[in-house]
Amino acid sequence: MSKDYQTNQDYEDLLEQLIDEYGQSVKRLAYTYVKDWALAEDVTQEVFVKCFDHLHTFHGESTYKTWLYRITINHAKDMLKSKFFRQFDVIQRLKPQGGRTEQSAEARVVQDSEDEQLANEVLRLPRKYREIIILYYYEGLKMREIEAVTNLRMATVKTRLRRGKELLKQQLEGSE
Amino acid sequence: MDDRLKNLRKSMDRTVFRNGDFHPGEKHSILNRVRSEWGSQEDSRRFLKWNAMLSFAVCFLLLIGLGTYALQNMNPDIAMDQVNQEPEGIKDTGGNQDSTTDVFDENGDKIHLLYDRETKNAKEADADSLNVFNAEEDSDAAQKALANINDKLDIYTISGIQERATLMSVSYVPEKGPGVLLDYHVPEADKREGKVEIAGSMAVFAYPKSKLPENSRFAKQDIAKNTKQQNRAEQETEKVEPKLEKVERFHINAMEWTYYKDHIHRDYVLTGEKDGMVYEITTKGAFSVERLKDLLKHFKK
Repeated sequence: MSKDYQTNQDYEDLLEQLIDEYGQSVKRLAYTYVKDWALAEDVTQEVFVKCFDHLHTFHGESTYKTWLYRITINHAKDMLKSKFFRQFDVIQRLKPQGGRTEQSAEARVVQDSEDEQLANEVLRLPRKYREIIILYYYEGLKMREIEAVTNLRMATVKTRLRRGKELLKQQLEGSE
Repeated sequence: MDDRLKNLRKSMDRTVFRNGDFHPGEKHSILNRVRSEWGSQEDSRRFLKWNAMLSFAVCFLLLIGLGTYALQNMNPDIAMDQVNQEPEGIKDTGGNQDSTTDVFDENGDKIHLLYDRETKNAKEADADSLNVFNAEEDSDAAQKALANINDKLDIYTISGIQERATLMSVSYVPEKGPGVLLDYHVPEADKREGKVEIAGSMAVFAYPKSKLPENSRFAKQDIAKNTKQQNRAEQETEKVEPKLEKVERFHINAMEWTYYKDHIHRDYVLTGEKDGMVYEITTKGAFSVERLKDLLKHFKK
């Protein structure tokens, strides 16, 4: 994707390529924060619109992938802090327990596998550990890339990764 | 634990992410949004660009207008000079449009005289209808005004030597006689005194013998009182008897002329009489009696 981009059409073509390549990853990464597909879709849209607005400022200091992930994480965190999300979260929590129990029971029936258990427990981790686990094990980013994407120091990344794994292990053992 | 986490991608894709595919519809909605936002930004940029250009043009015109207005108010003399010079410039370029110059009517009110740029003359019909009797620093207008005056008074004037004595200004003052003041430019009498250039000019003041105007050299003269007041406009004046000494008398074209030395104004005055009219001539520049006599050969009706 290295090319001199001059016109608006050039940038639009580039954006389309980025959407094709990273659309799904961005959406899934956003989901790990907001835990709702509709909200994840909104975040994804905002991320790519923001990306298009700033494409002319991208000079290859990082890869498009890490740049997009960084935008995604920042935007998802902003959404978590927003008044809208707090109200949305309260409504989700106030939903009738029957539905949740029913869904949970159904899920248990359908998915009794270790995969489901692992995925669910990862999503239950506190956000600061969850994001490092996801970036490292799911997205396959290197420590240095995680450092850049999260804007954390390397030592912090390592500590959170280690602590995240310990917590996850405890959760998995507790759920068994 | 690590082994399980190494398969995290597979685990999550199969489970929690199984409903999280990115659909083509989402891609199109992103692209549509980008296009519409970019389009509106382009529109607003275009609007701002035109707005800026329009603002610049308006400010520029405003600046020119204010500048011109300020210039005229700061130095009205310069501005009036420019206005008065306009007909000269028009004559030089030989345009086809009409223009105006400052002239004055019988009552001394300022009026406009129309010029035809092709003929370079005042328009006959317009000049007649305007009843022009006064003109300043404009040869054509002065000739027209003199023609109008001669319809009433039939006075003597220097004629036939336009290149030697060009009539530049005409003042008709009915309440002073009626008096007529003709001002000729005489190029052969131009002279230089140090760095100052003095244009040779000859003023002919014609008035009836029976009615001596106040501004005649033979009437009582206003002279400044000998005070410490430096500002000439505020100087007090007093009336004194004229001090004229006869120097020479001669006849030219059947008119008797007398040459006087004026001791108040420290120059010379020449007077002639004919048909009940007095012609009082004063000069500025390099004039001698002989030069005056030569010019007076062309003083006729």
